[in-house]
Amino acid sequence: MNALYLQRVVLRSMTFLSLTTLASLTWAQEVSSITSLKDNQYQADIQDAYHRIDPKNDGWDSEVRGNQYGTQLNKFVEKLLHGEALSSLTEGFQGHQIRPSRLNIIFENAGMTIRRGNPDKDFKAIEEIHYNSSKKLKSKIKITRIEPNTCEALITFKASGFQVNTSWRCQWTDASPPKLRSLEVLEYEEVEQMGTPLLSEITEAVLGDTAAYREQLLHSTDFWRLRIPRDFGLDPAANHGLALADVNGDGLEDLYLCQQGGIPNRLFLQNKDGTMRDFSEESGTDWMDFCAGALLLDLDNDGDKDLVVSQDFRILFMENDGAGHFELVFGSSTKAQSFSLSAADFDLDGFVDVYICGYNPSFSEARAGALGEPIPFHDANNGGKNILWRNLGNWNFEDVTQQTGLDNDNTRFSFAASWEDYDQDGDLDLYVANDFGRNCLYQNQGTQEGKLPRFVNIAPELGIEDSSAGMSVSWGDFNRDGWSDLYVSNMFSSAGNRITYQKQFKTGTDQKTLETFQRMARGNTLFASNQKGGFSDVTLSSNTSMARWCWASTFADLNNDGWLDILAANGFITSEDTGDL
Amino acid sequence: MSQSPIASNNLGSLSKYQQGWRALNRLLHENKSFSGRETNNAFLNCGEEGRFADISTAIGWDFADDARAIGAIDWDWDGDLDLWVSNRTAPRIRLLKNNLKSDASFLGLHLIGDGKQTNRDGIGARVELYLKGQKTPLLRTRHAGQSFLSQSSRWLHFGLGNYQEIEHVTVQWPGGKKETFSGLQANGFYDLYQGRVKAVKRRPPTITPKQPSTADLPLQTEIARIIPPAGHAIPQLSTQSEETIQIKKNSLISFWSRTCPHCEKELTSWASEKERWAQADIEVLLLSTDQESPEQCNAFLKKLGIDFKSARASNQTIEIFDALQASLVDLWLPIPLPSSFLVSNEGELLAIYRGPVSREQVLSDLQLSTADASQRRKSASPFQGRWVEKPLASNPQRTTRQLLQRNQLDAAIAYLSFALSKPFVKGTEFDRGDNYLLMGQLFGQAGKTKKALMALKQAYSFLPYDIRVLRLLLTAYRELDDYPNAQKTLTEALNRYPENPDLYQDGFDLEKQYSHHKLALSYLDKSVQLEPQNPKLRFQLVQALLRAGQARQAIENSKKILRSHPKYLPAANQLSRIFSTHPDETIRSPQEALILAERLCQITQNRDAAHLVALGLANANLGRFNNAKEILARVQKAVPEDSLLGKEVSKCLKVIDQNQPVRNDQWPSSPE
Repeated sequence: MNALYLQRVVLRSMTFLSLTTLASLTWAQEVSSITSLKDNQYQADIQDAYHRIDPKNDGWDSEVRGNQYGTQLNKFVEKLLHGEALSSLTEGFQGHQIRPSRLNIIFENAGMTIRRGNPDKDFKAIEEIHYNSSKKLKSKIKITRIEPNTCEALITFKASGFQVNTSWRCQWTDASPPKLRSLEVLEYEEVEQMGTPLLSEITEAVLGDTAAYREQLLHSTDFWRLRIPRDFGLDPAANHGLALADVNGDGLEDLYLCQQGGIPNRLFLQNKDGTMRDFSEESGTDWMDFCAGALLLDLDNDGDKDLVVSQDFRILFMENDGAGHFELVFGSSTKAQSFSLSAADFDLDGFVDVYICGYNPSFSEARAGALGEPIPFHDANNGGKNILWRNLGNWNFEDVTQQTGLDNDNTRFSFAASWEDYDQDGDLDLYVANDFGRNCLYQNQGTQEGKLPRFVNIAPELGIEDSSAGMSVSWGDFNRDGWSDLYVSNMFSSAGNRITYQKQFKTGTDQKTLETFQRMARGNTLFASNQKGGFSDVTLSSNTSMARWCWASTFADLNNDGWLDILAANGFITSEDTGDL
Repeated sequence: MSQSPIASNNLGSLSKYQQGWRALNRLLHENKSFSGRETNNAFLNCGEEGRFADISTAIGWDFADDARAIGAIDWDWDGDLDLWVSNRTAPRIRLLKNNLKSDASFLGLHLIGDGKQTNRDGIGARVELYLKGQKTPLLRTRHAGQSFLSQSSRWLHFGLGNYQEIEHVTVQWPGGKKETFSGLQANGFYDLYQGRVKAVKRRPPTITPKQPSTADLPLQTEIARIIPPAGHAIPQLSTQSEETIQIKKNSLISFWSRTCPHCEKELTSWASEKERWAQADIEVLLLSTDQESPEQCNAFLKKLGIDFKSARASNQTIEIFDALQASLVDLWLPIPLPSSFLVSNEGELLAIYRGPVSREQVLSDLQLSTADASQRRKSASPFQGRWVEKPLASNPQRTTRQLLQRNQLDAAIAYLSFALSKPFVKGTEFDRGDNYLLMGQLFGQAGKTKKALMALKQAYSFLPYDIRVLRLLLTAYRELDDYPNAQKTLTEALNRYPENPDLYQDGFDLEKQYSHHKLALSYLDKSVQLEPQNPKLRFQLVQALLRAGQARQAIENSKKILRSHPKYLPAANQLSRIFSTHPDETIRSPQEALILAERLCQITQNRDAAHLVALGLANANLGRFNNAKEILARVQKAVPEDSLLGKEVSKCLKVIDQNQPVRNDQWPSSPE
């Protein structure tokens, strides 16, 4: 057991003891928080908690109702898409036609057409409601709001190269199962792509010749979770990143992948024909420890790409010899389970510096579960610390978090950060996305003679704390006004949306806290620069919130039309079990 | 999900909330989906209007993966952005090629800083591209690390739409000057060197176009071989007739059933190699999981020609071995049939086989018994690589805690004792102090306080300054009625942790037990001083003060609680009762008692029996005996007779029936 681990054990026990109060210590009380040790009382509580995970058991009768609306709506859409009679599912029905009669083409480029329309003015009887399509459409329904006898839902019809995004407001009877009384189309949008879909997968053609791809990467994380001892650093969330850069100087970019504890990180070099070969072992970067994020960048200004890895409670700096062989030259323990890395030369001394995000503060909590224990949930302040490593040259790095002011608001659960000179004053500022609460924008106050720059968190002042489950940060000028805008990943929770808007939710809570909870379920956020160093929240008007349980999201101009599009990667944990939480 | 506590100092609901999180974590262990099957999203920027459209399905981006990181790069140098995505689920990585067929043009720029004023990569540089006839430039920043755990290509990619003519490009180098580059043409790749004015055109390599190709995923199977870290003890085995099975040789313990065809196949194959098994230094022990008689079981084995040692496993043993497996891996799936456990002659677990295993594999793994921790770790993964972390030895806590979670307290104690008695640690040693602490706690739970004390003394020898050890030692001494040692331990703990409120709480409990009320009170007082904002703690002080005859301080403290926590009703209830029932007339305050009691009943809508009793007592104190009787009679009907409150009410009613106010004789009217 190394010294670092012992430190953590001490930390853990102290944390635990600060939580125990009042009742004198009994034998059954938990004295260490690795996992739950319990007497019967504790057991009962746990079962209680289990029980309440099912919204039906937590007093949310409306959730039960919502499930019924969902079931009926699914039947309705099925029949609709199959052209079957709908009247058996309705009663005294009046509603909008599903596809508005007047649609405007709002986008047309490179084989893609997008039409959008306002709903028709008149209501129709059920016999007239239909949806005609020559395509074999599948549907997906998400109930987002429930009020008595009413629900709102996002509905997608899709087929290859085609999709309809629409939202409905539905009224229901009291009957069981409920019958549809009215259907109001709130929004309707239709996307059609002619010819080959814009994206097609070519992984097998590029990586298929490597054993690492076949034997390691074609297996789900869950495959390894059943086989490799958990103490090696396996966790169910599997937050492992990737980095692209040319590591051997041949002008072709290569790929570095971070992996679970017990299976090695991989470095794939690109061949001239665009296929790849495994170079992990030769490169010396095949770390078996749990790794989250990596950056490939020139830390010593010698013209090749060096490597930084965030490795659980450690950070490693490795020097490249120019041919893709790396040597570990600097490493340190960090103050938290580490996630995203972001680099910039914050003090403008010609050496690029590295910021590392910290999530769980202690070893045990990280390993006890993937989730941590944020307190309080909507504004957690018991997270691990982030660190700014200043590059002093000659492979020396110094923790300057404290002296640069970055230690303020630094105990949140940080997942990601990104540097940008958002105010165009010549130095780099830093936005940090925190899970379970508020984000930070650290404004760089500039370099003064002989002193390091200081940072001030001005997110509260600018109204861009984005109180939510922040997971990623991307900068890009989406509206082409010459100023960088900001896109932040969060969680879109349809259950959260449904529940937090109901009167029953946290009765006795003030309106502001309530809004915070509602905001937590809203989804991703787009902040547009106001060209004066401030931002406005344009999420709803830009229609960019609904990207589910979102991890990475990024700006990219996919169709070369000069306007930045957005890509989002999402989904938390999929297992064979279908009863999703 | 359990609702979150609003404020972090709201400790009451915190623990329930924490348990909610743990329950969630546990569901993940048990292979439940959680926001699973979510399809990736793509939003198309429709231009001027500022509204995006969801095009995820239309463009083929809507994979239902648990996706994590995204890296954008023009992989095939054809002028559009391709995408690498990493996933939690299989396949763990995808490369998506962009098939854009469009008249729109593009530009690729690669920055090279001077490595002096500006870093070589030009990270942080701001690049503005001016198109002919356009006032506002297109803007890109060279980032290293954006989004979530992602680093995209160093090439800055500009889509130019229908514009062909590039006026110029400016680069604001971090730490350097702003530079202008001209002479760039659309649909090309350029290197921009800091200080060199002229952009250098790059000839892109010719990449063979790739055909769409998705790998077939390997079939999912739960068959697995798990190699634990060194030093993992096995729990005790027992048969259905409750005999304990002693492991004295290297053994393969195999669970099987007559109803399982794979078991039969496996056993038959083993039986066909009887001699080879015999030559090896290993004993095969078959544990049947069936409920039938030993005769039936043996007859079946005989029919197959199997003469390995066999017995029927008790349900407890099955549960315990399931726990053993779950303590090793992150995914907790029940052990399948057949499953085998390879154990050394010392009782150390060498391997777990979910599903059938071959003799060759077993005999090869037997060599692990002499392997050190680092070799064990190597065998546990099919891949090799380098580690920073030193190999750790197994910590018996994992299995112990798994057993506890399954309510197997005795098995947990037996397991931990066995594991702690074994010297087969070949790697870095686990924390013995922590384990003895747990041991002590478990003995305590089982009511074996003397054994608990012994274990805690062991823990103390490893962790002499650990407050958890000291507090549990104190508890043990208290239970064993050893006041001198309890006091000694408390003093030692307080010397080391003079600011820990819990210790003063312990002191209070100890001295109270020996009726040292004054001393007890002083501990409690100190505890309150250390946590002045804790209403429950202060409320305890109120009660102790009353018992010690310090009613005025009790009143003052009750009021303090109500000032800081106006919703802490027990304080108001107590205050009302002091005002109506204290034996000392100068302490009583009949009107205040009534107002408080009425308010309490109003808040709880006459539904709280204790508050109604307070109201009854206040009425009795004012001589309104009929009111009091009526109220208390109502309560009497509502609460069980033998409950604390029920007894109190009967007692009070007896007094009130004689038209007398109630006086609380537990509270001396002056300090002792």
